[in-house]
Amino acid sequence: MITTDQVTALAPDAKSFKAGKALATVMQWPLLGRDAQTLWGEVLGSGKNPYQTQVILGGFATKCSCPSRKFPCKHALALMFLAADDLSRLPEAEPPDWVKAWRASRTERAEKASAKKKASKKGPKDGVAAAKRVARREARVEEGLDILETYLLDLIRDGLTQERATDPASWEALGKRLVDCQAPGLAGYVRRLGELPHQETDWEHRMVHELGALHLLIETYRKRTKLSPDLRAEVEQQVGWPVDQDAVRASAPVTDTWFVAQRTLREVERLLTSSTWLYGRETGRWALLLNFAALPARPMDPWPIGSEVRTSLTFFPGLAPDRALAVDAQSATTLAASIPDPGESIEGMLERASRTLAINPWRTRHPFLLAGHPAEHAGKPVILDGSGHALPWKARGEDTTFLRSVCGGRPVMLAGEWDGYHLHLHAAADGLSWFSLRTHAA
Amino acid sequence: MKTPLTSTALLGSRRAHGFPPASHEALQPLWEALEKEEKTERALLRAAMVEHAAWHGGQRPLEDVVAPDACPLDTRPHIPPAAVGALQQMLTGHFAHLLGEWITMANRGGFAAPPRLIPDLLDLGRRHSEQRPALAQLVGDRGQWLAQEMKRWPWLAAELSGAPEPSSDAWLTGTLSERLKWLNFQCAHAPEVAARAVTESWQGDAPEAREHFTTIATRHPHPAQVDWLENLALKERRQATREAALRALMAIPESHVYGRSLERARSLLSVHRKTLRLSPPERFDSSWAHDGLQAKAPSAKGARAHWAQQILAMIPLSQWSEVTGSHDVFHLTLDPDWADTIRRAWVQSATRHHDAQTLPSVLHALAKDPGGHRQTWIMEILQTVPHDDRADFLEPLTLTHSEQCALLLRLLPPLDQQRHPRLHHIATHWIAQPKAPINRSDAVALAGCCDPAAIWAILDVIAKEPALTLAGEQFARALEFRQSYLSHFLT
Repeated sequence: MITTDQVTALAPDAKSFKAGKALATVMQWPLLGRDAQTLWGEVLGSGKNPYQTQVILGGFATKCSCPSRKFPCKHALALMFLAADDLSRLPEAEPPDWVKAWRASRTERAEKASAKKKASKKGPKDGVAAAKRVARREARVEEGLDILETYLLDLIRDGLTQERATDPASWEALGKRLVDCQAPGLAGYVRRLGELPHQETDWEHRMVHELGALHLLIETYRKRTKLSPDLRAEVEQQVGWPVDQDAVRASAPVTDTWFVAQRTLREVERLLTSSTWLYGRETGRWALLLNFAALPARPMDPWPIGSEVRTSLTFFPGLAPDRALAVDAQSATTLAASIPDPGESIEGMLERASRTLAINPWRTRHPFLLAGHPAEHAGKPVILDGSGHALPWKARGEDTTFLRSVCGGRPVMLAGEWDGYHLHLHAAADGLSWFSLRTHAA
Repeated sequence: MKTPLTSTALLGSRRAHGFPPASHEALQPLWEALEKEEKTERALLRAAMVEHAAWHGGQRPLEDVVAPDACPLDTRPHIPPAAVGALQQMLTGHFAHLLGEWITMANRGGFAAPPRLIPDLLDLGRRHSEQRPALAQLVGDRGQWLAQEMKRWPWLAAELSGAPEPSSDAWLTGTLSERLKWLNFQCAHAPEVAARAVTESWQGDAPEAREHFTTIATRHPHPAQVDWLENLALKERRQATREAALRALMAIPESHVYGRSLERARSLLSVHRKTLRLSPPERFDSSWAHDGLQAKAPSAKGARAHWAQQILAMIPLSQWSEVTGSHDVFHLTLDPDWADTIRRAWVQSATRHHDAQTLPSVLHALAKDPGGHRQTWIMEILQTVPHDDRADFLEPLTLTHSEQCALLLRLLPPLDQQRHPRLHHIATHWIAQPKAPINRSDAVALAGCCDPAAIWAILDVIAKEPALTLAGEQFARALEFRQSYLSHFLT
C-alpha cells in the first residue's frame, strides 16, 4: 500500500513535488507496470528515449535513467503518485529486463555487504584495544558528569534568575563540552533546558524539576556497575552510550498487528528525525520507531499513518522500553479496517503514565489513543473525554477550528503525546479515514 | 504553579533562608531527611526530583469543564477518500478551476463534506460568493454549527433561509450570524416583524451588517420592506447596499421607487416606425436622487446619456414591453443616436434583475451590435446567470470564433456535447493546431468545460497527436484529473 501523504513526505523539495505531481498522468507514461515488489514505467522526458523509472516497494528505493541529481527524482515521485492515486493504472505484469537487472544488482550488493559485515565480525578483534577505547570513553564521560554536576550545583546555589540559567547560549556551551566528553545524551538534555525559559511561561517550575531529574541521572550513572541490567542500560542510553543495534535485533521479538498511529518530524541542525508511534492491537503496547536523515534527504517511512502492519518488533533495552526496531521493515501494510480503540480515558492514560514513571522517572512523553474532543477551560484549550475529564492541550494556529470541525462536539479517536503539562495531538479520525494533523497545519 | 522549592531555586540557596518547606504533606518525611544532608545544593536537587516524580505521577484531570454543544448528526454518506484527495489538491491551488464541478458532484451524490475540510470550504465561500449556495449545502449542519461556534463566516447564515426558527432574542443579543439567520427566517415568515426590527436597529448597525440585511431583503421582496429600503438602505453610503436595495425595491411593484421608475422610463422611450427612440432628459431633477440616481456623470460620459442609462437600467427587462407598448421591443431598430446607451441600460438591468425569460432576446439583440462591446456585454450578463445555464444561452448566439472562445474562458460553462455542439467543438478542436492562442491556464479552464461523457474520447484523440503543445499537455492533464475524481463519485 502506498499513500499520497507518504509520497509527499519523500519529495526532496517543493519544486520536485510540483513537477512530480504534474507528471503523474497516464498520458506521459507509454509503459506502466508493477509486480509484488516493484513499480516501473517509462516516461517521456526531454531526452530522445523515454526514461526508465522504477521504485522498490517497502523501502522506496528508486532508480531512474534521467540525469537528475535529486533523489528521488520527479519521475520516481510521479510514478509513486500514480500508484497512490489509483493502483489499477499500473497493470500487473512480468517485469522488463531493465527492472530485473536492477533487482539482481541490488541483491548482489546486499549479499556482498552482509558478507563483508560478517567477515569483519568474525575477523580477529583486538580485544585489548577495544577495551582501551571503552575505558577512555568512560573516563571522558566521568569528566563530563563532573562538569555537569558542578554546573547544576552552582545554579542552585546562585539562583535560576542568573544568566547562565536563562541564556540558551550558556546551555549551548555546556552542551558542546558534553559532546566533547562523548556524552551526547546529556548534551541533548541540557540544550532542551536552554530552550525552556523562552518557550514556556511556567519555566521556573519546569526547570527546577528537570534539574532534579538530570541530577538523579548523574547519581544513578555513577553507580551503574551495581545496578540491574535494565536500569544500567537505561542510564547509559540516557547519557549517550551507543546501543548495539544488532544485539537489539537479536533480542526476543514482539509480534502483533501494529496500528501506525502517529508520526512527527523534527529538524535539529539539518538532521531530520521522524518519530512514528505504533500501537499493538493485541498486546496494547506502544512502540516508537525513529528514522533519521540529513537534509536535503528525507527519512523514508515505509508504513503510512492509518495503516496496520503484521510484523515483529524488537525493543531496545531499558526501563519500560518503548523504542523499537522493525525486524522486517519491508513488511506489507494494509489500510486499517477499523481504528483501534484501546478504551482508555484521560484518567486511564494518566494512570498509565504514572505507572511508567514509577518504573522510569526520566520518561517525558507518553503516547495515547483516546476518544476526545476540544473544549475550553478558563479561556485555554483543553481536550475533553467522554467521561467529562479534560487535560490542557497545546493547540497551534488554526488547530482549534480544525479539530472542532472534525469532532463536531463529539469525541473522536485522537492520537498524540502527553508531556506531563499538555497534550500534543498528532493524528485524528475523520469519518472512516485516519490522518495526520501535521500535514494539515502546514 | 510555584512551590516553595521553586522560590528557593530562583533566589539561590546562598541567599535563601534555610530549606524550603515541602509542597505536600506526603513529602514531609522525605523532606526532613533531605534537610539533614550536609550539602544543601545536592539536597535541593534531590528534593526537586522527588517533587518532579510526585507532580507528574499524581497528575489529575480537570473536572469541571463544560462540553460544547454537539452539532446535529449528519446522515449523509462520506465522500470516497480518493475524491477527498482531489478536493484537497484543488483547495491548495492545483486545478482550482474545477472546484465548482467537484462541489456540484458532491451535492448531486448527496454526500457530506469531509469534516476536516469544512473550514477550508467555508473560507472558499468567503472569497467566492457565486459558490455560496452550493457550499452551504455541502457543509451542511456541521458547517453551520462550526460557523456559530467559532463566530466566523457570517455569509453562511445569510445563505440559509430554510433553517428552523431561531431563538427570539437572537436579533437583539446574537452574533451577526445569528441575527442574519433570524432575519432570514422572519423575512420569509413574518415580513412585518423583520421590517420593524431592521428599522429599529439600523442606526446602530455596522455597514457590513446593513449590506447583509439588504441582501436578504432581495430574496424575500415584500411590501412591508418598502419603508426601510427606500428611506434607509437606498441612502446608505455603501454602494453594494444601495444596489441591493434598488434590486429589492424593483421587485416590489407596490414600492414608490418602482412606480416612479416606470413613469420616468416611459417618458423617455417611444416607438416610431419599428424604431425605438430615446429622448434623454435635458436636466437632472433633484428628486431623482431619492431613488438612487446620480447626477454626476463619470468623466468619459455625457451627462444626458448617464441619466438616461440609469433611468432605463432601473426597470427590469420584463417591463420593457409594457413601458414601450411594443411586444417585440428587443427586435426593434435602435435610435441611431442613443443605441449604445440603450444597450448599456439593458446590460445593467439584466445583471441587476436576473430575468431568464427575456434574456435570450436581449442577448440576441446585443450580439447583433456591430460595435466592439458585445463580447464584454454578453459576458457581464452571463456572469450573473447560474453556471449550468450559461451554455444554453451562449450556444445559439452568432459570434466570431475568437469571441466565443474568450467567452468560454471567462464563463466556464459546463458543456453537453449534444446540446452545445458548437461550443464543445471550440473547447476541444484547438489541440490539433500548434499555433492556437491558448495558454496553459486557459487549457485547464477549457478542460473544465468539456462534457464529462466525452473525456475518454478526447483523451483518445490527444493520444494520437504526434506532438502536443505545453497547453495541450496541460489540457490532457486536467482532463485526466477530472476523470479521476468523477470516476470516484460514480463508484
